Amino acid sequence: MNTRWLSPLSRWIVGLVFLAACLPKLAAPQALALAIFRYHLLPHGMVNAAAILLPWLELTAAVALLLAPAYRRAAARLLLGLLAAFTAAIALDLHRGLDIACGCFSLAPGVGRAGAGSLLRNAVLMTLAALAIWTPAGKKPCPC
Amino acid sequence: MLALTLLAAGLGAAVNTVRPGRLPWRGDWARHVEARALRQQIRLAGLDTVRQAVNTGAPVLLDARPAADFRAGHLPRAQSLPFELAPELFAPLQATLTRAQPLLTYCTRNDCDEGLELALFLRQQGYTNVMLFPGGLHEWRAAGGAVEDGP
Repeated sequence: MNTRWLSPLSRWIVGLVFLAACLPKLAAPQALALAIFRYHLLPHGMVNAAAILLPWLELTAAVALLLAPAYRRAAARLLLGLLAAFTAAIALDLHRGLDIACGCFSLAPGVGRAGAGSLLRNAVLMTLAALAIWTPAGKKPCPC
Repeated sequence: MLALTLLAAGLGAAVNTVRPGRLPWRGDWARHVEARALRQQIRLAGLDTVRQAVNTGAPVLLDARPAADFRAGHLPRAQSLPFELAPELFAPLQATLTRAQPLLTYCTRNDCDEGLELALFLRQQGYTNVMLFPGGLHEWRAAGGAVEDGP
C-alpha cells in the first residue's frame, strides 16, 4: 500500500492546527500569561516569559513545517515536544483536580475547559506530528 | 531545532519590546489571589462549577463584595455575605448550612481578594468544603452568564 501521502497530510494538519492555535495567543499575551499561570505548574518567574515566547515558538514551527522543507523534521520534533509538554500539563492538573481553561485555541472566558477531550485531541495531534517526521522504509523523504 | 527555537525567541522578544502594553518578562504572580488561595489550600472553581451552582443551588454561592455592589448585580442564586461584615452577618446564614456543605465564594474579578478572605473565614468557622471562584462576576459576565440585581 502506498503510504507516502501520510507524512505530508499529517504535516499539513499539524501545521494548520498550530497556526490556528497561535493566533489568539499572539494577540493577547496578558490573557495567555493568566492561562499559563492557572496551570500552576511553572515557577511564577517564568510565567510571563512563557507567554511571550510560546506563541512565537508555535508560529515559527508551524510555518517551517508547512513552508520550509529543510526545517520540516526539526519543526515536527519541536511541535511534538510542545504537544507532549501540553499533554503532561493537562494530565497533571486533571489529576490535581483543578478546573481550568485549556488556553489551547481560545483565551476567552469559559471556552475550552481542559479535560479528557483535550488529552484525546493532543494524542491525535502527537500521532500526526510523529507521522510528519516518519518516512516509509526505503523511500526518500517526500519533497511535497 | 535550535535554529527554530532561537528564531522564535528572537521574534517574541522583539515584538514584545515594541508592542503597546507589552508584557514584563517577570510578573508578580506570587501575590496573585489564585496563588495565595492554593497556598492556603482553598480549592479553585471554574465556570463549570459555577454554572452548576447557578443551576442547582449547589455549591451555595456566597458574594463577598459590599452589599451595594451585590444589589447592583450578582450571580443568580448567590447570597450576599460581604467579607468585612461576615462575622456579624454569618450567624443567620449559619443556621441553614451544614459544616460539610459545599460553599463557593466570589468577588468582582481576579484582582480582588474579598472572595478569598471570605473563604478563609468560612474555613476558620469549621466549614470543610469551601471553594473560590477567582474570576468572579467579571469572568461570569464575560462568559455570557446572566446577572441578577436587587437584594
